Amino acid sequence: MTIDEVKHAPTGPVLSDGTPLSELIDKDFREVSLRVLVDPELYQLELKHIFAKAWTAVAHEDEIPNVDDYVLRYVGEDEVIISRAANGEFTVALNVCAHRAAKVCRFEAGNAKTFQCAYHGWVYKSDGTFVGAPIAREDMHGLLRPKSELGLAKGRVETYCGMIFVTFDENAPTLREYLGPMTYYWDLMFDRTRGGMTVLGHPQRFIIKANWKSAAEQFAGDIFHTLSLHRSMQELQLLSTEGESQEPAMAGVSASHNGHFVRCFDLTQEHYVNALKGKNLAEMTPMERLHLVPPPGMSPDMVDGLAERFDDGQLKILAEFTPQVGQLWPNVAALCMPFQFPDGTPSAFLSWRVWVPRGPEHFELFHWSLVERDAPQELRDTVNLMTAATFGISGFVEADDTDTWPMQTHAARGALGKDQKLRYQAITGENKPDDWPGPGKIYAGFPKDDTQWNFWVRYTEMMEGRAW
Amino acid sequence: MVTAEATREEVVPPARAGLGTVDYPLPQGKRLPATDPRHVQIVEWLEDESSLLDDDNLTGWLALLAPDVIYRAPVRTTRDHRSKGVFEAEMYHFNENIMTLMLKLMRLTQTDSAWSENPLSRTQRIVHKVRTYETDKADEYEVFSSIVLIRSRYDEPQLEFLPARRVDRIRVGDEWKLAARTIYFEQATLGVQNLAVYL
Repeated sequence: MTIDEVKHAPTGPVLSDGTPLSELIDKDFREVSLRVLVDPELYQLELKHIFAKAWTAVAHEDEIPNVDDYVLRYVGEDEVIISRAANGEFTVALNVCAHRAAKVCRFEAGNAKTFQCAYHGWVYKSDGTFVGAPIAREDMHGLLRPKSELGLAKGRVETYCGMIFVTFDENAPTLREYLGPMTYYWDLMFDRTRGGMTVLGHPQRFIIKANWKSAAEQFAGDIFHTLSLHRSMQELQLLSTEGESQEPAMAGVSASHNGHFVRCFDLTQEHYVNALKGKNLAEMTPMERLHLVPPPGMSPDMVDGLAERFDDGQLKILAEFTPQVGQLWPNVAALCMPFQFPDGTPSAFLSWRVWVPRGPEHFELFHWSLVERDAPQELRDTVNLMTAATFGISGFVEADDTDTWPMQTHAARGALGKDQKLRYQAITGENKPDDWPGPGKIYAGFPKDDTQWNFWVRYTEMMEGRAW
Repeated sequence: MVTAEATREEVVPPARAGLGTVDYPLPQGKRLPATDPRHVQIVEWLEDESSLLDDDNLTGWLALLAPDVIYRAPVRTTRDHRSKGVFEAEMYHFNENIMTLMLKLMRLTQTDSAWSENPLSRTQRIVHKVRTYETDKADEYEVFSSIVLIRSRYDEPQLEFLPARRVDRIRVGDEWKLAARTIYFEQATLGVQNLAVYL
């Protein structure tokens, strides 16, 4: 069996064949053995040390807009009920009856003041508090434990940018502390307006035959794969290009913190964006530039409000190095990227997504499409079209990823394959430019492997029981 | 940093209208009997249309789409059996117009690196239970059908298997066109890694 209890030893967890985790994640060479993608023991440790502790996103507030609205979602492999309480706050409770473990809620979404388990009829408030069992005079819940101990397991809930995050670890920091400097950048993607963002509906859900970390390590900073896996976008001339070279524009700045990641795309070169061509960018203020090229998913008339919401440093980043893609450790990713229709109509794709583990060799992708709540209908419709066309189950960009990620899991099953490596040896090193106003570990220039390696550093910390 | 947190509270009330939902539609028009030549023609057209997709003739399939085509598959949720509105009104698995379809089909047919379908999936579409109805437009019929998409990928022996119901608007005339298609998948969580193929 796994020697998890000695995890605080210098080597961290040791697998049943004697292999320590530290041997699978080589810090000197920045190499990760493929075994971490399929090993069932490591998977159980991930559920315990990562998914039962980390903050993860489960729903958007607007999915449950009214009191007693609920949705069922997953934290790791644990199914949870997310409800809106009478005070407008949100609650999370494990969907496992405290009596004999049936689901107390069988429906993915709805409205309920209480949940009654169909198996033996135990009743709970929507926040999981035990109410009673049928035939009260017979004390069918027994008297050995007080009612206060017969509720559903409860977790903590906080929101960020309208997304509902939960953790079941009472020792976890607040969500704000957990996200740290990342909110400086993520606010620029998802908290830009008074109205804020809304979702277009409950998320797409679909299954990918790959370990969840295939998606997660990619969204921790793999911008480079666009050049190869998504080359069809170049062939269709859908990407901004690097001057005369016709190579896609890759310049930008990555920020990283505790395994979180965001990539800011360089818009300081006029040839990157059609609307900037022929303009004297050096003499324009950030707000002037933002009027010329509104942030993804915003209409020009929404731009004025940005000056009230953000400080000068954030406005400069939004105008010149727009944050467009990132991931909040461990499995919550998001996209906020501009994209044009072939006829030149400006649009964007806006999405939150969560990689939910489904055993070592599968994960479920929850994909939300977003729009600015106050966006005019036409913009709402074009963003809806473009988000579906590019990402999610029918997105032509993501389709290439979801067909490729299973190859890593497939490879890891082999006796030779499990010892092959994921390599993160293209290193920039922290190189924060003097005039960069944002926080976090900063890696400027061509996107290399630094932030993806930081993902594995954080992975190791949590797997070794050093979560906080 | 954000300076308008307080303003947000004032502007947006705590509870909002729910996300829009819709139900699986009921046919509105008069049903064509199975012996009606128009019904027979529509069934033949659907067979030919799905065969183009089986044969990976995407250019031929694109030619069957009306310029104002609406091609959608709404997301669904698992609900109480008395619940109304199990399909999302604005959230889709597919949400396409002619522009997105042309872009995606151009990628699949004309680029060298549309890796999601290179190698190609082998597919069969079983179209059945075709029911045809008149509409308020003389040249348009509403067509309800069921479809099972079977897909084989790489050397995997397990087949991908996607059952769905479809509601189409078919525009007849000199050239028949698909004016609208809504696909209602049976699964709430689709058991496939992508929808890089059509149905």
